[in-house]
Amino acid sequence: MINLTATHEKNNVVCAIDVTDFDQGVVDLAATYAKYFKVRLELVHVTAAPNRGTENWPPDVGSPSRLIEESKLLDSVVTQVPTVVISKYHLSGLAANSILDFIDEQEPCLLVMGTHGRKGLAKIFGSVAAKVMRRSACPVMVLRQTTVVPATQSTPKLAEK
Amino acid sequence: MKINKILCPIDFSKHNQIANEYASILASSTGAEIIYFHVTVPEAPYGAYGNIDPSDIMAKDMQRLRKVVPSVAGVSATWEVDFGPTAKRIVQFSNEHAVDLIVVGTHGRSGIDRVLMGSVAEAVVRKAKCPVLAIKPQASAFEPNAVPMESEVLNSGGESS
Repeated sequence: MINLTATHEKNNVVCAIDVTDFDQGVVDLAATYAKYFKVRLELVHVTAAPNRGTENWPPDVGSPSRLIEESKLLDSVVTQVPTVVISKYHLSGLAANSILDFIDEQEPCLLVMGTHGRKGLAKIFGSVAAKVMRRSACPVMVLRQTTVVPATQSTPKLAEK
Repeated sequence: MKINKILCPIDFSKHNQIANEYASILASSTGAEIIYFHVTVPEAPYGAYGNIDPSDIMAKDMQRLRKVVPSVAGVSATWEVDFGPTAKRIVQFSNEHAVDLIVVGTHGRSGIDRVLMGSVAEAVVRKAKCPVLAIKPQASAFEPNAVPMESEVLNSGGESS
């Protein structure tokens, strides 16, 4: 489950996803670029490890059942973009650090990830995507999540009075 | 998912060269058009926008901007200059012109610099509706196997006076 295969393929496209807050648009975008470059797509999901000394949320963080559940979710991820070879990696730890370690090892030509485009306080503390963007050695493509919701699925606007 | 328009904001700093190279390679492998976009910032204290006629500076900036050309042969490009707050104008332009991807160079500020000075790239990532590709100056070489690399070395930027 939590393993890195020995293959050390350079110049792939890596796509970091969060299966608990899944966004098909990010995977499809990454697959589109992998297809253009004719390289493999590597999907990475990081399961949060429990924090030491602080309260954890959700309470079952790091538990085996959670790992298995997220592993199943990762298995179910597919893309509609044809002719793309996908390998999946399930890591455990702090999201940003794990992703950064992963791309240090894999040296991809491109990292694709989603973000929420937070405002306010989170803007100062930074999101996972912002952290990765600042510290990664490879180019990072960031897709804001609100953008990929198809118009048909968005919540209908309330009629104005 | 077809990529037709790639927006490449240019501020005539050294970070633009690598962003331009990435944009060119992406454009050549996707068949997209590059839009070079410069936002003129008045050389006056903040709040003085209203008293300055930006057309002279914008014309000069347009001349400089025209020297920025795709580093890969056969890529079509257009040039645009606007005036005002940088990140806001970039996002506005991308929304109005249905841009599929923004490619920005970033200097990767961290710590107190980031909190106080911020970063145009991060602001664009947070607000843009389309994917944003952020490239740091030390980004590793971008050499996907299938992409033709016979590009001439970029001769842009003009004289930095």
